[in-house]
Amino acid sequence: MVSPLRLSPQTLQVLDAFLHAPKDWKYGYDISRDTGLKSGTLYPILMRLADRKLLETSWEPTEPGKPPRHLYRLTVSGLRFAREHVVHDVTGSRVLGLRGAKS
Amino acid sequence: MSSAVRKFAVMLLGAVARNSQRESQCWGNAMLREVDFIDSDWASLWWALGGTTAVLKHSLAITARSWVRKQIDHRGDWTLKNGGKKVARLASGVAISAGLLAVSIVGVARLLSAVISARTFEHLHWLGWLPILVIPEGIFAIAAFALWRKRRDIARGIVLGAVVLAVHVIVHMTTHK
Repeated sequence: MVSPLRLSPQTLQVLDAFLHAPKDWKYGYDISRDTGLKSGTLYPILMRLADRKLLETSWEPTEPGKPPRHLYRLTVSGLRFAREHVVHDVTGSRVLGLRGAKS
Repeated sequence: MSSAVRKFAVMLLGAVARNSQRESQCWGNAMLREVDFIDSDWASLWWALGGTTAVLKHSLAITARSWVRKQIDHRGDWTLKNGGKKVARLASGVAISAGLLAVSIVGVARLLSAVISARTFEHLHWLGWLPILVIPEGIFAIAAFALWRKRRDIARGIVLGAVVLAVHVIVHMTTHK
């Protein structure tokens, strides 16, 4: 059984980062730079989102001999969840999460 | 060319990813691949340290969850198997006490009526308690004591029968006076 997702400010930051280009796959290091979160904070959030099927992951196909990179993108339910919980003000910057998570 | 710091970062994260739980290995490798794209050597080390913590936490959480699940499964099994046996033994103890009570009532009452005349019996009406209470309770006490070490659950069933009988007699006496 998966426990309810804790909507911390950092989780909202990550969801917000995905909302900027919802259909694009993102690298972990790019999300880290966008959000300013360290790997020790970012990856547990990604793991939790993936556990709850809100995030899909994929290995980037690369040329032979070059190790692949891991990619992330919100699922349809993840996108809906992010839109429900990340609120933007008129200037477009994120202000707060709407309500407690149910996923 | 990689610096010693970056090499250490890669080595550390690689070792943690290899030795963690299978579910965590994918995440460890994902963080490891990103190290190549971090410009600063020191930043790559901090990345690896953070990644190490994340993988270890994830791995530990999985281990703890599976351990707890295993314990619950084991205990559930244990309770079902042994609990059923225990109840059966306890019930057999109660059945034994009920049987002893029936034998005592029928047997002793017949014996008393054969030995003592009806007139004498009227004068000694306390004798009626012998087959109903005194003799059965005495037998229950002896049987429970004898079985306590080797057949404790059956002994408990007998004690339970004795208690029920005693309570029944007390209730009867207090309500039928």
